[in-house]
Amino acid sequence: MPKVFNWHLNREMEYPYEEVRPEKQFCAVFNINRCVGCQTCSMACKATWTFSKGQEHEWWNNVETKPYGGYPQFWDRKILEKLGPQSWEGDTYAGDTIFEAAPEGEVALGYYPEQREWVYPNIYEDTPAAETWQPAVELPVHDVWMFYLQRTCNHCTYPGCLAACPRKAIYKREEDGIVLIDQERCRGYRKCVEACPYKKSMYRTTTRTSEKCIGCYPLNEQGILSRCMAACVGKIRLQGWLHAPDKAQEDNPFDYLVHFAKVALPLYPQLGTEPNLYYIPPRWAPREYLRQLFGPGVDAALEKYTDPDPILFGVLRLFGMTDRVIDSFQVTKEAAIGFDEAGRELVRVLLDEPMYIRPAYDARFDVHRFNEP
Amino acid sequence: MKNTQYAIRNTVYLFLGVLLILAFAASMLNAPLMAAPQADIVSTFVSKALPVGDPLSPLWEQATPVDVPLSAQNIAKPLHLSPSVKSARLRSLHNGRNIAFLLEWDDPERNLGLGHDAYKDAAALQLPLDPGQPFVCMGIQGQGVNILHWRADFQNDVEGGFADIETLNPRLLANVYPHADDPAFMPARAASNPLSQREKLSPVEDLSAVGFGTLSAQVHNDAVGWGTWQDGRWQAVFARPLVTIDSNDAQLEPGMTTSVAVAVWDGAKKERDGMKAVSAWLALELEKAPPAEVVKAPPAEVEEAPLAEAAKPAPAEVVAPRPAGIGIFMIVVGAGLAAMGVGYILGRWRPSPGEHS
Repeated sequence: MPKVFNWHLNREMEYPYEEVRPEKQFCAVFNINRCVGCQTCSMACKATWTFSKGQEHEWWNNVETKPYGGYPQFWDRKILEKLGPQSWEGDTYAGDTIFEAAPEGEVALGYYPEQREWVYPNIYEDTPAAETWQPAVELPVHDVWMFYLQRTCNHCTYPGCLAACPRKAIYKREEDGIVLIDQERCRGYRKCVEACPYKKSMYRTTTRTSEKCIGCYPLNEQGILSRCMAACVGKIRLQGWLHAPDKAQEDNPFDYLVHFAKVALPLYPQLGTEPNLYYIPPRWAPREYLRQLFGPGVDAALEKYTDPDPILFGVLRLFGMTDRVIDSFQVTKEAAIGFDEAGRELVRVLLDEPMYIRPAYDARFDVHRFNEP
Repeated sequence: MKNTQYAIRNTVYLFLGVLLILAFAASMLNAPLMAAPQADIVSTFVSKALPVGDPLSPLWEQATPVDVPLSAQNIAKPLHLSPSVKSARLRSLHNGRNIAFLLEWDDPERNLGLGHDAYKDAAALQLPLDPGQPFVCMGIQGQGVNILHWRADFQNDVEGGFADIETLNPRLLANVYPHADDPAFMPARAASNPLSQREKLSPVEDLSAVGFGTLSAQVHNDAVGWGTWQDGRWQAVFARPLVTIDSNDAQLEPGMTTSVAVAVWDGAKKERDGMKAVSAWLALELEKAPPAEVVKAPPAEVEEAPLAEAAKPAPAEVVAPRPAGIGIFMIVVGAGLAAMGVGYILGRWRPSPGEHS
């Protein structure tokens, strides 16, 4: 089996195909700290792509409550249990990936969730884990805690689904790294559903093929954000193009967040697929749990996020401020500015928004103001 | 010296003469030039319509069944090293126009493979595009194979219509399915994926492959058939015309020897794709039709076939009977003439004039 370099693991790993990186990689950063769990993203996706017969259980985008929630139910706990306890040595992963732990005769370690596991996408919504009966919400870590985890296809650099498809009906686009299932060639074997550790490949009974998130590539091709990204009410999402660490550009907001500031971390990097969705971890959740989800970079990321420098502060202001893909950015003393691929200004956000203080009593109309904006 | 040359020339002429007489005799007696390899299975000639839709037809009694041992596909991942079906019984009939196979195997549970967690029972016959034995696992580039794939799910579609969500999940409630008739939202169906098509004509797919991962449905599906499950046993018929207009099909003719391989999937054990029970190649001989019988082969419209309409292109008309012996005769005569030419050149060889005097 060829050896490929997985920079999330800081080491080479086994993968059935050679290392080929796209010209640019579809990616997104989710700021978990800002998510209110409104599911507008889930509905935007559902209303665009998966509202037809046979897709009732398909939520290409979902938001689940951690630690108990999961769609399909307990997906992460199940694959972690199958993988067994693994360890990191510093920044290097010392355990096995799903490819290295593959059972004999299989390409990857995985399992096929039954239909009933897919039908409660928001099970355990808002259910917290608690160390105490008392209200305990003091930072740095709350004793009673939960948080929302935003999930879509990770458009992995080393996709489990692609590796497992015996028909090579799954491919990763050269131009943007989006992973697609060829609906003409798929024969519904469901090996991709088994092998995707994030369970973002889904079997559709009315076409007898598997389907998955297509990254809204028809929108991306026009420089427009995917539906789930653009619809985000809480402005927690930023979507664009990421480069590998050796090609990182400091003025690319994703390269900046992931490679320079290192505040955005991959979800379950130990699984080995090099996923391309990144998360700013929630400040209030137990560190040990976060390290299991996001790897060894959690502590440094939270430290940086808690006390952001002016550039990071500026980039964080750009989240959710435009429905166009921000290709590069600049932070001045007054504003954070996002530019498109042609270098045209897309959005300018003031770092300090002006504040107006009005007297509580307005003598002109003889009225009292009550917390007007 | 000169005598020696004449002796050589005479010997050559004598040899050629004997060869010509032998070739003529062989062509008259319709004898093969070479001994054919021992056939593992013979497709028996019958001058009747083939029971392409009836695995239980008494006509199958006329074909000699062969028990085919099956074992795991153990080369390409994913592997399934203990497939549940260990052997299958195969027999074949042809009538000079169409060929049909009856495959029987034990399977305690009938699986249609409909729904999220279900997998279908299925079986396949693989024929090499060119007679011979290419790589048995789906062929290789340049030596492709033609696969007839009987599927329990397709048969259910033909029989009872395409199982929609109301059938699969009767307790599921949806207020509205917007754009329900817009093919854009059934991408696999819009992309002509045969699995997703509502209207199925045949439970047998006509497929091509040139190696692992290359299996493709043909544009022209020339295959028909039918399966019956009773008492823990599947009996499935696979049938097609001997000759088709499709270059992706193996072309067959009475008297020929080619190969066939068998694969069986047990849906209850989640067998699909390369996770299957397979056989090695079997030598398949198509019994030669008596020349008079070939002409008597029934026309296509009287084929006893509930799925006759499924055999889309009408089977090609059987070409006027042409005993294979004449072909052999022509080849031998050609070879003889070529040898005569060589002999003539040899005979013309003379010692140099100096030696002659």
